[in-house]
Amino acid sequence: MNQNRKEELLTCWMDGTLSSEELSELEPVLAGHPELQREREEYVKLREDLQATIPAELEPPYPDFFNAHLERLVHGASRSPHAGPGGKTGLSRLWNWWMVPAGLAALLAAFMAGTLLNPSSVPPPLSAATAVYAPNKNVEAAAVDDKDLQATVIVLTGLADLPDENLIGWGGGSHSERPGLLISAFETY
Amino acid sequence: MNLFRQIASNLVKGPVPGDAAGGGTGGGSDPESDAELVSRSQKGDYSAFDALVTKHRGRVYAMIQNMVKNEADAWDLAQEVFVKVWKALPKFEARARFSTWMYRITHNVVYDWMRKRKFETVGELDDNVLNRERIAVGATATPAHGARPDEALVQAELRKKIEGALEKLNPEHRETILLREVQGLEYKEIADVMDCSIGTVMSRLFYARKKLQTLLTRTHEPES
Repeated sequence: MNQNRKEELLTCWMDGTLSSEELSELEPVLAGHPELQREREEYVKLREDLQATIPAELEPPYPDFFNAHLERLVHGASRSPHAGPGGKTGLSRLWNWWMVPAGLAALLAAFMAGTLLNPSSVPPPLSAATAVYAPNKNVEAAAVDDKDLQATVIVLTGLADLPDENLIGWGGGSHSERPGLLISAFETY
Repeated sequence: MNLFRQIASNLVKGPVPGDAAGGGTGGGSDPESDAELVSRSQKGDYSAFDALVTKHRGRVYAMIQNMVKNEADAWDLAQEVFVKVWKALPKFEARARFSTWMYRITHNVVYDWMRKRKFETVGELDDNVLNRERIAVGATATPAHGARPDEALVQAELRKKIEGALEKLNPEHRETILLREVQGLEYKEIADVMDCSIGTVMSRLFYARKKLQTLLTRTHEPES
């Protein structure tokens, strides 16, 4: 029996999927190597351990944002799968999931600044370019483009009260690729 | 009076883009078959595609995460997989199972990423160097004897050992083991996913299992 055939039969034997003819074919090998039986028993145990410890399914972090962001990517690429290729998945690098809470907090600070500077202005329509996501189901998030301030702000409702001292500073200026998007980095809660 | 509350009362409310897609399907109380969802998606029905994503994202993400061992990269790559699935859906024919076809795309995305990464960090991704470091860490941190009373700890320890051993396999062997033992694919399906013959799958399984057993036996041996 050549090596390839032996490997094939032993693999099936480990999985318990050998036919009776194949088992007869393998028997001389098994008789010559009694340690194989022990190896098989050990592997059965190892397989159980593998299945018990390595998950076959694992929800990605922020699963609903996963879908929402994917939709933006797909619609950025094309309206229909028949419309052909387009879009750059590399854009997703800008939206690493771990940036979401920090981004929301930064934009909230920008909104605060905008409201304080111009409290009577009527907010313009929602931004079509900005997707917002709040991991907490009780919190609503909305994106607003303020042309006067040259800023995109995120408004959150449903958050618990935060001490004023935690609503810390905000950063001004424009992101080089997205004018109007205010960036600030500070602790999030 | 909380400043934030004051500001929040001025807000303009509106739908969050994509929110319906993310929250609406969530597992689905009326699950449709993949074939139905694929058929509707192929006609441009995004809600059907969203349901497909919700149904399969856990397996795709787990598979990628087990291959690349980095959450953020796995998240991005899983997104890339589904973008490619969406784009390629018009060409999908029901000869293969949707899930097998999706694993194939996952395989390609992961291997492209690995190739790119290897190219970008020439010399840094020496598997042997990385693995040797991991062996040392596992060896010193893992007592060889003594059952712990806390089952969770025992389970965590076992998981660490198994993950460590899997990481020491080469990518082809690791993927074959994951597809077979964890995802439960048939030999033929693994061959389709990995674009190789069934004989190659059998051979990879044979050697991957042997190596895995050897690695795990070593980690159980008492330290000298």
